[in-house]
Amino acid sequence: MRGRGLSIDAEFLQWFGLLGAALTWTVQLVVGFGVTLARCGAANAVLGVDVKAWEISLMAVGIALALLAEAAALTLLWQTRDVDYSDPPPEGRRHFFVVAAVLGNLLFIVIIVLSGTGAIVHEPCMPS
Amino acid sequence: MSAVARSEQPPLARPNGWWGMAIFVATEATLFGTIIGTYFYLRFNNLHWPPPGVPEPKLTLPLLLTGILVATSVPMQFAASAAAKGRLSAARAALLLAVVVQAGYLGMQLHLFVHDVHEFPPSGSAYSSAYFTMLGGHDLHVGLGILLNLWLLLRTSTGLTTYRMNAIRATTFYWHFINILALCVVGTQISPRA
Repeated sequence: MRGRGLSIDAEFLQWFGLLGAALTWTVQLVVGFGVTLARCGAANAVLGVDVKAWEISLMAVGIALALLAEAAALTLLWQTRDVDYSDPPPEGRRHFFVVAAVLGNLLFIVIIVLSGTGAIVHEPCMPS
Repeated sequence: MSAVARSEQPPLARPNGWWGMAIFVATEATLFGTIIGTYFYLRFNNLHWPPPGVPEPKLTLPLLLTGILVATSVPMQFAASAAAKGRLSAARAALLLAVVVQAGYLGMQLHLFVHDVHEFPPSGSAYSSAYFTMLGGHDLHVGLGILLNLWLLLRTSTGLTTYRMNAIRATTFYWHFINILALCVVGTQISPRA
């Protein structure tokens, strides 16, 4: 059973490492877009949406989650250091995924920072 | 084989090449999701779409061309199935048929693209900027798929290996995605006529 438990942990680390940062950026983008729409809508007189506070919060949480995903990927990369990507699944596939995840997560961290910074600097409710 | 015996078989693991293509397709889907999202965002913020002076998009030719491109999913799938059964000649014939049709599609698309650029340049309006970004991006992806197919034809000229069979499988997956994308792109393109 212990072996099965370890396997499930590795599966979680694999998928969280691969998809965690990407999904985090997606949530940041969609929620940020919604917040800006709410800020520019008529209901803002009642809601009083603070776009900058939202965007800073989203960026901070996003960076934290993306760093966690990177940590998960690096952990699994270390665990599969003796495995080649051409080895049989699941170990070979896992190693292949985490190599992609380690590189991809760095890109997503940059995207989250740039996306958040752009949203903070940009003045909302201007005509496109 | 009974249903019970069938269910006891372990699931067939996909090769890493297929997973690599799946990750690539996910990034491309994100890219086109943002491009199409941008198009409709701009569309809903403009009263006139396309703007005055820009002709309405054509309907018949883009739909016809897209239908022809989408049909290439059939020979691509056939090529993957034939390769899996070791039928190299059939797989190569299907690949060749697909690549000829796809090249014809790309040639016609580029001709229409250049014609449209002369009629309403990308720098002219938000509409033309979004329009050419979307179509240009899609044409680039079709071009990449054609290069992949030509590479497969070249590689399989000396025989079929597991590696090459996986490459055909991954490329077929890519083409199914491109064809679904073509439907999304043409739907967006002709949406002002709706």
